[in-house]
Parts: sequence; structure tokens; C-alpha cells
Amino acid sequence: MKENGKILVCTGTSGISAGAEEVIKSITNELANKNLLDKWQVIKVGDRGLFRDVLIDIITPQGSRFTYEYIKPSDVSKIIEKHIINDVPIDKLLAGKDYNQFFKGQTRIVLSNCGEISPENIDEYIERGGYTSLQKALKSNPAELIDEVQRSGLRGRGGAGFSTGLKWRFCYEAQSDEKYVICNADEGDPGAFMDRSILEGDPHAVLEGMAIAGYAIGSKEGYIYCRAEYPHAIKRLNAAISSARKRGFIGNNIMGSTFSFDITIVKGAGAFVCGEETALISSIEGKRGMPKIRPPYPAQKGLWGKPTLINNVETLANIRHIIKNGANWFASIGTEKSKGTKVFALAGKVKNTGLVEIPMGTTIREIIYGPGGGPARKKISLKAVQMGGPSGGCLPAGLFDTLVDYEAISKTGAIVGSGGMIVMDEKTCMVDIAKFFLQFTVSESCGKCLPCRVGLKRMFEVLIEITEGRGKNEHLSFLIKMGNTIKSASLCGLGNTAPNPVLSTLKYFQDEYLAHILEKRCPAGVCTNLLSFEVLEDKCIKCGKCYKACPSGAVQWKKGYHAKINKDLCIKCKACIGACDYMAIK
Amino acid sequence: MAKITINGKFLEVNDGLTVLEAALQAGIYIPHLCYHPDLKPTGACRLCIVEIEGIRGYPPSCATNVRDGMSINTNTPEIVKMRKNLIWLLLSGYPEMPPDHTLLKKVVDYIGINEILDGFEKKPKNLPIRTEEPLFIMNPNLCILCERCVRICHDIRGAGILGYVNRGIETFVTTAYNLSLKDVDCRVCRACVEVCPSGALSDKEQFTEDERDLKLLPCKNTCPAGIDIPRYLRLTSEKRYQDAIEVIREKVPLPHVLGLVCTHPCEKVCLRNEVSEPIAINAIKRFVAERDNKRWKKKLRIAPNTGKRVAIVGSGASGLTAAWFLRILGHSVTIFERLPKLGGSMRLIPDYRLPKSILEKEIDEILSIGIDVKNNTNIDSIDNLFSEGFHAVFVGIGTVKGMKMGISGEDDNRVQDGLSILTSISAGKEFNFGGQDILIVGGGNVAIDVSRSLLRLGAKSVCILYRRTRDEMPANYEEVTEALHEGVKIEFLTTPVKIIPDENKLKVECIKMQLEDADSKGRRKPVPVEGSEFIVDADRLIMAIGQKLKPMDALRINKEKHIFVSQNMETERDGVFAGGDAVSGPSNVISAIQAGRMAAKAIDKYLGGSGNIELEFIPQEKDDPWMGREEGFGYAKRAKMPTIAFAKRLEAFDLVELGVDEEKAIQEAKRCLRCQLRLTITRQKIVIQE
Ligand SMILES: Cc1cc2nc3c(=O)[nH]c(=O)nc-3n(C[C@H](O)[C@H](O)[C@H](O)COP(=O)(O)O)c2cc1C
Ligand code: SF4
Repeated sequence: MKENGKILVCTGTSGISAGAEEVIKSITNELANKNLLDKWQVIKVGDRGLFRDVLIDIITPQGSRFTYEYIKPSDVSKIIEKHIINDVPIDKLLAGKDYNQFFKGQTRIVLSNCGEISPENIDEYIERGGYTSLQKALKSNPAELIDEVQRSGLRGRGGAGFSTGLKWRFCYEAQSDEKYVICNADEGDPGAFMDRSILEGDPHAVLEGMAIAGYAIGSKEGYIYCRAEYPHAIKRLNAAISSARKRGFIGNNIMGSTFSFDITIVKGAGAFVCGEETALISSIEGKRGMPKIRPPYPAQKGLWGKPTLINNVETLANIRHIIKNGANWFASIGTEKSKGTKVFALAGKVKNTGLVEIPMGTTIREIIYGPGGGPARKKISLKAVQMGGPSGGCLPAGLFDTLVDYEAISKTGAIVGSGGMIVMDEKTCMVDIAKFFLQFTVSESCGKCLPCRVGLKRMFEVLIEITEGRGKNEHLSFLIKMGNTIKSASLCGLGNTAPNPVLSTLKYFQDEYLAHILEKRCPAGVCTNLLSFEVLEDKCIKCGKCYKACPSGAVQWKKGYHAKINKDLCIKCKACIGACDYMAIK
Repeated sequence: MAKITINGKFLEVNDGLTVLEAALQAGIYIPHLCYHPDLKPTGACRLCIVEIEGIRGYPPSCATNVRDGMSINTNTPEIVKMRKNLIWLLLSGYPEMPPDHTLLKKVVDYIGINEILDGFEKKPKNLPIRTEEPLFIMNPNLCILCERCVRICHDIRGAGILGYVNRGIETFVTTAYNLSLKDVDCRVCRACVEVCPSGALSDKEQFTEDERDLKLLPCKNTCPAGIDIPRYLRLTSEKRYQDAIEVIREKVPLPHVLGLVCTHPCEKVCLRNEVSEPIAINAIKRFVAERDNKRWKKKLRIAPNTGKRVAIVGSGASGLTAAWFLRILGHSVTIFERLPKLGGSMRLIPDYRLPKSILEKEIDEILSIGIDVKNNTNIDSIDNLFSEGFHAVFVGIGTVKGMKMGISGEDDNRVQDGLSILTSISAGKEFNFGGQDILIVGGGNVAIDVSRSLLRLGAKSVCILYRRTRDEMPANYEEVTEALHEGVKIEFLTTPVKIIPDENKLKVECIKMQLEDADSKGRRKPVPVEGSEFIVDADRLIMAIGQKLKPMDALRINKEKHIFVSQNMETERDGVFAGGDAVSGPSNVISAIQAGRMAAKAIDKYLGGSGNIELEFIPQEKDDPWMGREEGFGYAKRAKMPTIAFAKRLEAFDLVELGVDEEKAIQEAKRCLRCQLRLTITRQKIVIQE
């Protein structure tokens, strides 16, 4: 069908929630009406990692590609009529400058198939080199494979950044007739969706990585622990597993070899802490998902007491590229100690938000101003990025030239983490952000160990005091002391890192805390209890944006005059503050 | 062996120890709460964190194994500070201060608190306290989530009754769906209470260290003879009946008799009472006694002859027991009995409760180890015994004289004494009470035994007059129930005041009584209700109001009119010991047996022995602490004793109780809470040196 054209529709979780299914229905109806169904193939691909509602690509029989963004079912007949039949692209609907900029700054290795192939069609994966790495791996011996992975410098993408090759080696060296490979697809950081996009857009890459890992360490059985909130991912994984099994890429005697390996999906219980490896293992064993003291490490005694390799989705998705292109190729990307690429979920106050995959060693600034397209609002300057979500910290604008590198980022108090990256501007309250993440960890703490269970709660209570105007001087030293105790004394990674959002904002933005405590003022205009809803005339440029934004008629404004807020009518919704580009409302 | 240093102190310790264990063994205290020597470490409290050279962060010493060359620091300033912060955290949700007796309090005192936040108000959890459960209270507000209870219940007991619900700060320990302990088949073994360091789980009845054994294992510690009840119940439940009977025989030589008539003080204190009903102990003892194949005889070792001779005067339970143990210790023993047959007051128990054949079988077994008997022999003079060559004498002559009320008309020959009636019945004397109306005065076992015997001997009606209420009756509760069941009437709060001998009938004038408020000893004295007199007609009136000692030459009598003995059963005469009812006043078989045991010890010592009468037929074995789950455990009812058909009862003196079958016996034995297991849990010593 070379001579035929293709229409790709992004149908990951975000595409589907934006209405991709309806768009597909319109396309097929329209093609049917025009008798074009045999000439044009409609392909459901995964998401590309950029929020553009429904994204479609027209790939003409000649191979030119046109990307349309924000497509609604009502746009479809126009596109078919004009572009498909008459070969005239509709400029107005084509993806614009931002779309192109978003992808220009990226190096897509792990995400290379996402949004390009149909995840439910194994042939498309194979066409793009799928399962050749497994084939190659089966021809080498496990020790060589492990060497290769270790030499590549790949480090775990699940957060801790531990050497993947070394972990494999530990599992390989552990003596046992049964061993397990677990793919950690519990992705629980709020706002993170790297793993989901990979699972939805390129599930075979993960299966292939697991099979190679299984062969390397001597395991016959793999589990994918996937959060139950990812129904699409689970559906695609199931489909991928059964088609891979049919083709003999997993199952007994893979590709005619003596190696057998099968994969089972386990739905996660939905707790963040179940992403922690020992809790995850307990959860698979049907017990309460609570972390356990290590040692023993899973590599020695994991699932059902047997040596177990646990790797993150993105880690495993890298494997086939390393096997295919070699350790040297992989190690040539990145910094001295951080190799390859990393996928980030870029969010917050930048123009383009979504998944960006960049080589290690890229600066934060390059991410924000490259794929990110710079500040979302020109007049509001950026002040920090938060990296690593509830386990991470923030990096102030002054350090935007820091390279993406495990050690370099850690030094600042933030972490590379699993890939959460939230950009913050002057309208982001750092105390509020710290409180947000702490609220998350308080409710996700499993409750097993004292410092995390009680300590985080006490810290959270203090943050509430501060953001509601009852802050006291000694609160700051309490937060630091308690934060450090929790970090040092907690049992698992959750508690060991949960104070980070507080400690790092305290480090770089102590003045904001002090404004809350001493002046009872929230400089970013976020903490409602500390706002007086008054217009600062020296800052107001009389533009009237606040007037237009106010839903309750409380803002009074006339062209050429400062705005004024009638407090009797004000409902404290903060719409005016959000609308003002000049921070003129306090 | 691993060479390590802790706080600069060089140590050589066993491989495989954790750092915490190694430190504690070396007398270096590292504070800990969730660690317990019987449990796998969980690392939840974080108090035992240490610093180890070359290891990042602060590993918990409870879960870190020693390695050769390790250098450990248990109390750097950082750690000390962190521990104080952790204690602050721990108490930030704990109401007030922990109770003094708790491990938590001691650990808090040891570490100290860092008051890290001025003006902080405690935030207790305010969860409901569970007080309705049997034997212990669950107060989740005091819980520190060390998981010790959960772990011991799950990992050691195999019951898995307690677990965590919720997560994070909302976590607490409870049963599935918060159901009552009984509804989740809790075994009420209280291992959880034993290991709880915080006071969240606490015994309803608090006790001092001295009372601990008695309160935690009341049956064994209440049994006068100290029979290892939990052990033989377990053996019975494991179908090891011969082992079970031998455990009983380690302490008493009359197990079958006890299985039929013991007043079982253990049942009253059995903690199963608080869960449902106490274990039917007699049923089980009788069950295993009936299956005794005498294997123990082969195990019994009689010590070589000591050349000492002991005279036992009186062949009741105390005398027989003393004779048994003294003979085993190698002394020559002769029993003197004034009657033709041995058994003392045990012989007075009617056959429907204790068939003579069973009593005689057990007596014969005792005698069979080489004890001489002189029956039909009245001992008037102890001096004669010594001159006959005995080196020591035990006096166990019981109380054989019936008491009188001292009311007018008591001398009429239709007024008789209960004890002599029972004696005559037991001696096989023919009686006929056909068609007679009988009145009996009293409330003890003699009154009941007479009443039920006379029904069997044809009495038309039998009525007992008792001056208090049923609650105060000294007779066995079950006996009273059976008597009522068989048709005996009991007039409570009634006492005779005058007997008017009439031609045909005795006219007995009675008066109603009422109980005064309890005195300082808790006893309620009965006083007559004026003007409440009434007359009852009877053919006979039988006095069963008590019995007393028939004194012997030159033995000092105390103010209760019993033989005076010192604490080790010795009378004021050198070499003369006494015990049983003659010393205690009318009591019961098991107490008399214990008196015999004590006397045997004392006499052996007197004769130059060690006084050790302990036998070991069944070596102690480790009690498997794994209990598992048993559906309906808490609700399981006490085994019901089957009896002979009611219609047949009054025809003869056949044994009324038929005994339980094997299935029931095992079920009953399995109802045991196995309180003894709690005592096997390692107790954590809080050795805080330095
Ligand atoms: C609280 C907590 C949550 C975690 N959640 C995840 C997760 O969702 N996905 C993941 O891959 N790793 C997660 N991790 C990290 C895992 O414990 C583990 O390090 C990782 O799966 C190892 O894989 P990698 O070496 O490939 O990164 C979490 C760790 C902690 C402490
Ligand atoms: S650190 Fe938090 S999540 Fe981890 S074991 Fe302790 S309480 Fe649970």
C-alpha cells in the first residue's frame, strides 16, 4: 500500500480525553462517503507528549507530512475535502511555530516511536527495528550483555539513578533457580506521565527491554506493575503481550532459542508508595504495600524471596537502543556520569508543556527556552523550576545554567528524579508549592515509620499556619530541624526525600517564607488568607484586565483610571490577580 | 566471629548477630521500641539508628548485621539529637505522658525530649477505646505503631487477628472491619498485650510483678497441688492421652478420683470465663484417667531404702498422698486406719459421684509401690508409734464428728447426723427411708450428698434448709443443680429453731432469715426475721451443718479446734506432722492432696532428705507458639457432661455422669486459651547502663 496515504491520530490518554475517538469516527465516515477508505489508512498512534487536543498527521502518498493541531470533528470534512482530495493544506489548522519549536530541541530516542507507530500493531514496531535487539542479545552471552549495559552508563530512570548494569549484575550473580524481572510502571509522581506515554505509545519497547533483562540475569518470569489508573496503558500492554507471544518474542523458546520468558501484568493498588521497590513487591505478593527494611535488597531476596530485578519503564525502554547501537554510542551522549537522554514532563509557566526528551548535559535554560518556548507570559518573569516532584526540590532562576546531570542537579537541592519539571514564575508562591507537595506525601506516607508518618504531618501543619497568617519565627527552624530528621531517619525513599520541597524552597526563597510570617503577605498573590485585594496604584497600568476577569463585579475600572476593588462584592477568587501582568494587586 | 568496634570499644562477636544484638550483649544500650528479640525486625521506630563507617546515612541497628571490621557509633551528637526529635514526634500525638510501667516511658526517659516547637499543642488521635473485649483494653490513642502486636499475632501465633488500617498519620491497629475479637476468632492469648510497649494494649486487671504468674496463668497457680493444667490440656488436644495423665500424676496420685469429684478451684479463675465459659476440667481429667494404661509405673523410680519408718495415721487423701511420696523417696511407710477400708472421707462420697471401685483401684495403685497397711487399727497414742520404731508420724485423721445445732428436741432419735448416715451408706448398711419426709439442715456437700442419697433410698420428699442463699452455698454448684434437678427442695434463708417431737412426725419450727450487709470480709451474716416462724412436719431431720475433729492425745488444738501445725506441717511434737481436714477443717480432696504433698516434703527433710517430691514422667517440651486460626473459637461452649437417663437415676447409686467422648474431650481441651504461652515470650530487660 505504498502508494496510499496515511492519517495518524494521536490516541494516548490525553488524545482520547480531548476527543480523538470522535475525530477518528468523523474521518472514517468522511473517507467512506468519499470512497477513499482503500486509499487512505487511518492509524491510531500514541501521544507525542504535547498538549494540542487532537493531533493528526496527514502523510501523503508521496511521503510529505502535515501536522494539524487542535482538531475537532467539525474540522474533518474540510480537511478531507481540501487537503486529501484537492491537495491544498489548510494553513490555519496546521501546527504552528510552537509545535515545531517544541520538537526541535529534543533528541527522541526513548520516545522515538511514540506518536509515530500504532502501538497495537506489532508489525509497525518490527518495521522500525523492533525485537532485533532481543535477537542480537540472545546470540551473546549474559555476562557480555551486562557488561554492555554497564559500560553504556545507563542509570535508573525511576528516580534513584542507580547504575542499571550494576543492578543487573547483582541479580545475575545471585544464586537461585528462580528469579524475576519487574517493570515498575507505578508512576505516582503528581504530574508525571513519561512512563504512561511510553507504555501507551511504544509498549513493545518495554517488553523487549524486559526480555533482554530476563535473559541477562537468568529469569523466566516478568511482571509489569502498572497503576490501575492507566487503563489505556494496561489495554495496550495486554494487546502487545499477546501479539508478542504469538510471534514468539516472549513465551517459550523465544525465537527458537532455549530461553523462555513470559510477562504478567499486575494492577497497582494506587498508592504512591507502592512504587518503592520493596512495597511494590509486597503488593504483588498480595500483602499491604508497605516498604521493608533493606538489606536484604530485592536483588538478593525480592519477590517471593527470590532475586528480583526492578527497573523503571523508561530504563527498560532504553535497553533495546543500547543493544542495537552499542554501549559506546549511548555513552557518547550526555555528561561524564550521566549518559543518554532523559524524558521530562515539562509543566507550569512555560509556553509549551509536555514530554521533552533531551540529552543529558542540556541546561535547564535550554529546556525552558527551547522546547518550552520560554515564559508563558512575557511580562511575568520565571523564578524557579521544581524537579523531581514530591521527592525533589527547586532550582532558582539563577541556576538555570545547571546541566541535566544527576550529580549537578543534586548539588542544588533538586533532583533529576523520575522527570517531573515544573516551571514557576513570580506568580507561583514557593510556600504554597512546598505545602502542595507535602500534602501529597502526608497522604501517601504508608504510616510504617515514625519520622515520615508523624513528622511530615507536623511540618504540613506548620505550613498551613504560615500560609494562613499564623506563622511564627520559630517555625522556620522547626521546618529545617524536622525536615533533616525525617530525611535522615526515615525507612524508605518516600520519607528520605519528602522534606526536600520544603527544605529547598527554604534554602532559596526564605524571603518568601519571611514575608508570610513577618509581614503576613504572600508576594506571589496565592495564599488567600494573606491577600488584601487592593490595587497598588504605582504598579497598575490601568489596562483593565482585572476588570474583565472579575466574575462578581467587584473590580471597578474605567479606561484611563486605576482599577479599584469593592471588597463587599469581592469573592476572593483571585481571578484579577491571575489576569494582572504587573503584580499590581496585593 | 566478627571483630567490631562500638563507640570505640573493641568487641569480638558472633557472625549473624545484628548490630543491636551485639551491642546489647556487650552491655551497650541502643534505644529501641519496635525491636523485640522474639520478632523479626521491622525498622519502624527508627530509634536504634547508628552510624557505621563506610555506610551512608543512619542504618537501623536492629536490621543491620555485624560485619568483620565494622566501626559503629551509637550516640554521636547528631544521632542523639535526632532521637530526641523522634521522641518529640512520638509524643506529639500521644496524650499526656506514657504510663510509668511501660517500656515506652523508660525509653522516653532515657532519650529525653527535644522540645522542638514552642507552644505546640499535642494532637491526640481521639479514636474510640475498646473496653468491651475480654481480658484486655485496646486504646489506639496510645499506640505508637511499632507493629509488635501485629507481628507476634501474625508471625508467631499464626492468627493474624490484628492489622493496620488506613495509611500515614491515620494508620491504626485493629481487627478486620473493626469487628470484635470474638468475631474475628481471636485466641485471646494476649501475646499482643505482652509485647505492647506503649500501654495501648493493657490487661484489664493490672498486677504487680509478684502477682504476674498467678494472674497470667491462674489455673496452674491456683490448683492447690499445682497440676500443670495447660500442659495436659494441650497434650489431650494432641490426642496424647497417656502423656496427659502422666503430667497429672507428676503431682497427684489420685487423678481419677479428682476427675470425678474435684471442686476445681482452677475453673473459677480460668480466664476463659471472660471469653465464654471455663474449661470443663474434671471431664478432661476423668477422660484421660480412664485411658491410663499405667505406662508411668515403668517410669516410676522408688529411691533406695533410707531405713527410716513413717507412720501415717488416717488413710484419707492427705495420708495416702503423703504415703505415696514418702515411699517413692525410699522411706518405709505404714498406714494406720481405724476402719476396715481406706479412703477416709473420700469413702463417704456416694457411689453415684465416686464409685467405690474407682476409689479402691487408685488406692490399690498407691499401695502397690510397697506401703504397709494396718486397718481396723485405732491409734490412741503417738508415743507408742515412736516406741514401735517409727521415726516420724503423719496425722491425717480428718474431721469425723458431726456437729449439733444446740436447739431443743435435737436429742430425739429421729434427729440424725449426716456424716454418720453417709458412713453407714458407704459401709453398705441397709437403709430404708421408704415413704419418709426428710429435712436436712446445711448447705455443704454433705447436705447435698445426703439429700441425693436418700432420694435413692426411697425417701418420699427431701428438703434442705439453708440459712443463706444459693450464692453462698459451699456445696459444688453443679451438685446443687443436680440435686434440684433430681427433686430435692431447698428452702433458702431458713433455719430450724426448735424441734417438737410428736408421735408420728417431728414438728420442726423454722424461721426465715435475711442477710445483713456485707462485713469487712465480704461475708453477709444471716439474721432471723422476727415473726416469720413456721412449722414443717418431717419423719427425720438430718443435721449436716459441719463436722469437727475428734482430738488425739496431746496434740495441741488451735482456736478453730483444729490440730495446730507450723508452716511446714509440723505439730508441736517433734517428728509429728499433720494435714488434711484435721488441720484445715472440712475442705476438699485436692487441698488434702496438697497437704499430703507438703507433709511428705517436710517429713523427708526431717528425715534427712532433700524434700524434693517432684516427679518427671513427661519431660518439658517446647510449647509450639503457633496457634493458627480456629473458627468460632471465642464462642465455643463448654462441653456438656452427658448423664444417665433421668428415670434411672433414683433407682440405684449408679454413676450419674457418663464422661465425655473423645471428640468432645479434644474440643474441650482446644478451648484452652493457652495462657502459658504468654509466659514464654522473652521479657525485655531495660538495662540502661552507662
Ligand atoms: C516512594 C517511592 C515511589 C517510587 N515510585 C516509583 C515509580 O512510580 N516508578 C518507578 O519506576 N520507580 C519508582 N520509585 C523508585 C523505585 O523504588 C526503584 O528505585 C525503581 O523502580 C528502580 O528502577 P530503575 O533503577 O530503573 O530506576 C519510587 C521510589 C520511592 C521511594
Ligand atoms: S518513609 Fe514513609 S512511606 Fe516509607 S516506610 Fe516510612 S512511613 Fe512508610
